[in-house]
Amino acid sequence: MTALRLVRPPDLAPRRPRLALPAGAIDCHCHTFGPPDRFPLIPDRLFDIGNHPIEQLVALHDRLGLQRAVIVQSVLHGPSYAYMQDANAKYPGRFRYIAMPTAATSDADLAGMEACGAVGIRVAYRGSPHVDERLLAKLVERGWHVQFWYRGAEEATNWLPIIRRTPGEHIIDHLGWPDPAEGIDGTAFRIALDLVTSGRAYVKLSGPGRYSREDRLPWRDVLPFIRKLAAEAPERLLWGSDWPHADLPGEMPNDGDLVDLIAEWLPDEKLRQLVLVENPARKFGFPA
Amino acid sequence: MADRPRLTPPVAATGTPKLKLPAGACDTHFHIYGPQAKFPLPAQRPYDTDDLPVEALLALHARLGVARGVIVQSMLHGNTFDYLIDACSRFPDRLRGVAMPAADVSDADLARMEKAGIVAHRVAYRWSSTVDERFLARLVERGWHIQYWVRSEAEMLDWLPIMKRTHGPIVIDHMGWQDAANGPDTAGFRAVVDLLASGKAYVKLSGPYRFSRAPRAPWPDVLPFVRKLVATAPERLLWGTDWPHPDHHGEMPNDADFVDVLADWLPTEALRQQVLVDNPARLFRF
Repeated sequence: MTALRLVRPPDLAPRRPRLALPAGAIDCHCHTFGPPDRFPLIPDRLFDIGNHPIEQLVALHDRLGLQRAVIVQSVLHGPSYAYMQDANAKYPGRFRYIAMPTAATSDADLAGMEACGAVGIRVAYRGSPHVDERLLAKLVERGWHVQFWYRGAEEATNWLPIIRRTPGEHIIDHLGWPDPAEGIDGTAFRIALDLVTSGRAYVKLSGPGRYSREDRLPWRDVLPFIRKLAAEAPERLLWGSDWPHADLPGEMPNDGDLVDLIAEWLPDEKLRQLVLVENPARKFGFPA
Repeated sequence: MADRPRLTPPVAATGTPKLKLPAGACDTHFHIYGPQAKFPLPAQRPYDTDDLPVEALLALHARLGVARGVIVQSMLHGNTFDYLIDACSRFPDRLRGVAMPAADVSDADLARMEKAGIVAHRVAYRWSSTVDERFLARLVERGWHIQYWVRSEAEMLDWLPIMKRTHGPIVIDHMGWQDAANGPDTAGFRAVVDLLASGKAYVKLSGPYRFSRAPRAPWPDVLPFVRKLVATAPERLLWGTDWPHPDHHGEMPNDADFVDVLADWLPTEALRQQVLVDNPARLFRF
């Protein structure tokens, strides 16, 4: 068996940011992995990643001033949610969970996911362009929302009819994965902007290193997108660290710098209160 | 006693419609009044009216073949809601309610309404062009949806940004109430269609006589509006009688006509099942 490619770890010496985040700040997009003996990754995976368990995330968040978080299922976990049961037992109330159940997931397991904070399902174009709309409808009836992860104009265009057909208010991952070369009139960004301004979706200010043409922070070519969204629909913006930045191209950011970048993205304190506290509290059901 | 105009009562002898509605059909827009001995109308009201209690409505529904209904708050009842709680809680399988509580309503009163089956809040441009969006957000967080009533292109365009900002699904009354004389290709109606197409809004196929220039059924100038809505997103259309047609000063419509016009508006059984049964069951949680 060929060894899997091991992706780079995050910077494990995060700087303490200069920016003081508002009380109750929420990181809306992060993952945990391992420990592998307790929560193994699926054998059929694209790459390998080191041990980044819940304790490591909590230590990071404590240092950065983030008091709550939404943990997003990684494709590396398959459908398993045992790691979230563990996280929720250790830190009750601190996390919400975006799961990846399938049509084969039992109602008992859906209830199990909800018991450890599940409020949404993530669908990933990269995993499969085919979407099980019956499953989405069933989950929306249960009160879940759908988090759509697509990458670029072609995937966005293919999924737009499905996103519009699916009832509820959704979440678009990683800013709708815009192409900075196309600017704010590019197709992928226009689709995300329309969904947000028409009240159909929230969008996550996250993952700039994944679609920027620049290879390191502060990814200045992403700023026009942020500014446009903040001007048009501040009530539907969320922020996420995307820690531990699995398989990130370019230079690995220090997460303290990532938080300080928020001061440039959201220069107004009221805006930060909205994006880091009020919007995610409402969307994910945290106390405000 | 204030010298107020009195509402014209609805047609009593409606007869029965020719079209048979599907089982579980829902009338998603009508009002009830009183009984005023028990639920007096507030002093600040635009009209006086006869009592038209829930029993009168249910008798009409029985004649029309309607199985379920959604009582919509009328201006005549102001911000009061005890009459709605009373009616909805006596017929929990048949009725839901859309209320208009004032923004200072207590959580306890909201909980009483929810227990009775009140699932939405109505905002009316006619009452106030200013919308308390924080109050709407408070209701949406409790699981309510917001129903918008506008009556012109100017009102529709003025509220469009608020409608888009509103969290959760919204409902637009009376097909958006855009003057039928201008046809469907106007900025006001395009805004209604766009909200429907984006998945944000449900639209009620109701109140044709309110924006038609035709004096009576079948309101032919309304048909192009209906056709456009049906072609756009039948999965988010609703239907309502708008009984007892308050504040209508033309010829009083016969409610059987609102059923029979559906043979033209929704020409297949599958469409009627969707708009009359499936869509309202989902939105109003029957």
